[in-house]
Amino acid sequence: MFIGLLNIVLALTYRELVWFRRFLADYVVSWVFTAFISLSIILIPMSISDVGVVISRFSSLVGVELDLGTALLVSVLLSSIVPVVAVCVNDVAHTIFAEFKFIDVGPLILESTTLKYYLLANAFVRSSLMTLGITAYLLPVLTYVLSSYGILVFLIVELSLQISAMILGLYTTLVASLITFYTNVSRPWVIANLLPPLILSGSGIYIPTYVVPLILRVFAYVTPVPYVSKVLQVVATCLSLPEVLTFLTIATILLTSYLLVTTVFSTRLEFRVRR
Amino acid sequence: MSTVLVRDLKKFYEVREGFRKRRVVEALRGISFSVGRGEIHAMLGPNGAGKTTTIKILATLLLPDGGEAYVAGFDVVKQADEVRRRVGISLDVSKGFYPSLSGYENLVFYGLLKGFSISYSRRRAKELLELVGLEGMKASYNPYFTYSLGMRAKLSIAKALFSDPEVLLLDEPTLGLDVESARMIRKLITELAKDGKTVLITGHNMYEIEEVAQSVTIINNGVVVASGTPEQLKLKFGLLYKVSILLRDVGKDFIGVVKSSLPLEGMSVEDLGGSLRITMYVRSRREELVQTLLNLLERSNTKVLDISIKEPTLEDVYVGLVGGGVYRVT
Repeated sequence: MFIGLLNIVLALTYRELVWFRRFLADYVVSWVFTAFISLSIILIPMSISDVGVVISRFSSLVGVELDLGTALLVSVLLSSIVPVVAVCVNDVAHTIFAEFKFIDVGPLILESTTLKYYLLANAFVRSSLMTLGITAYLLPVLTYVLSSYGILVFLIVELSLQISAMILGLYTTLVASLITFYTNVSRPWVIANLLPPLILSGSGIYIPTYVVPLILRVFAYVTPVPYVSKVLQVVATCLSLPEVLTFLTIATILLTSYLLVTTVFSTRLEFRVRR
Repeated sequence: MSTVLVRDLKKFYEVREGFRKRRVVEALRGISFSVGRGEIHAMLGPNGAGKTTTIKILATLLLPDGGEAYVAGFDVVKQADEVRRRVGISLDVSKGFYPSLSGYENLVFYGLLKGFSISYSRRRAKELLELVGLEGMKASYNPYFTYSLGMRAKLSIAKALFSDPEVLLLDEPTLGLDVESARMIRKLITELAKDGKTVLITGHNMYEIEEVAQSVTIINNGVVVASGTPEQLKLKFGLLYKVSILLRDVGKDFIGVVKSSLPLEGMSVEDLGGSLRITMYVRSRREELVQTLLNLLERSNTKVLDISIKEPTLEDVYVGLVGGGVYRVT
């Protein structure tokens, strides 16, 4: 089993690296865009309003009194979650849709390995490597802003995002597999595209969660996004160990739950697909 | 011993019609055949006959609903992993690879997925691209979506050969190929069979199948309607050879001798003024027919101006079986 899983991980890593090289320009655009958004959230309101009011409003979102530099850092870190959710949900889902519904790579996968292992490995490898690629800009940014301490912050942020990405990968695999193999939906990406805004809106990234309707919060709280959002706020303001440990505990529970459900589901799915 | 053994194989599909209504389609209704080691076996049949379903079951892509199938002695259901190690498969040649990866990258990915090392996968991918004639087309760099149908078919064959499999399952492997490429693929298949590989091939090009296949199974509506060597099938279904001879100085009793010596189904004699054209429909083995004819002509002292023997083709057998009623060469 382990060897089989390792083979798939190697194959997927190779595929992701080739794609990263081929689509590097897309990544560069997303780095620039995310950096622009994260700065704009503070700087544009500041240019048309009072600096103190903007910082005070932003501080109320985080729950800690911030200065301008820290507010910008919080904004940069919070903004990094947006592309992570986008790639983990959209790219993992679209890969499954494409492979088994449109470009017909399914037979190549099914003749080489077991679908169960493939789906599990894809959930981890694709989301993990894409997260690494999409957040690579944080390393130079954090090192520039915080010098050597920035490297430590980057490692904590990256670790938190990686754990979140893996959980999101499993979550998306479940949803995408249900759509692909249990429905006759012709345009499955329409459903997948709804997920990131639903998850992000209830996660408290730029909008305080108490103003968000309950159903959206429920949608968000079955994913790791609200928890990682909290961790990133804490990391940017003060490195608080209890907050990080709380996140790790919740992430472990979510990861275990999704892993169990996905394993059971994909075992049944294997039978159904070959049927 | 058979390398591929199929016994009473059955497969049903449930097709959804509307929101709640479902219809069961019987794709295979108990087919049986076997293929020996180093043999090229062709499966023929109209679209929807069950050829691709059979190939998919043998490749472990689909589970059967009844019957048994063995590849290299392994059960395709209970020992699927063993079967996967021993088969190379080429399904729909127009797709089946990642469009944004090149042919080379797709093959390396496939090799890694199959459990080969990165160095072996890279080396093997290069070898195979060279073998199928894609190396010269910059297949290493260009993404798959830019490939022509012929290039895609060649890549599909390369993928099937990747693990140097004992058994090759090729579903219409020359579809869309130009004449030269199709000939190259046919030659390759024949050479692979000579090396001991067992090949199960499907297709609609009867000329091609007749050229490469040593045995044939014809399927229609999920059942086997005929099987055997192409020669056996032609004989079994009573197809006739059309013999045409142009003669001069024909003896009085020649026509009578011909009638008594050959198993004729029909005969016509045409006087062309100085020469005679005899057209006969003969039910016989080709070798026996040729031998008898030569003996007759030698003994009769007639001058032979022209002779032709038009033999029935596999297509005639196929049309006769699948099209309803035995087609006769006329």
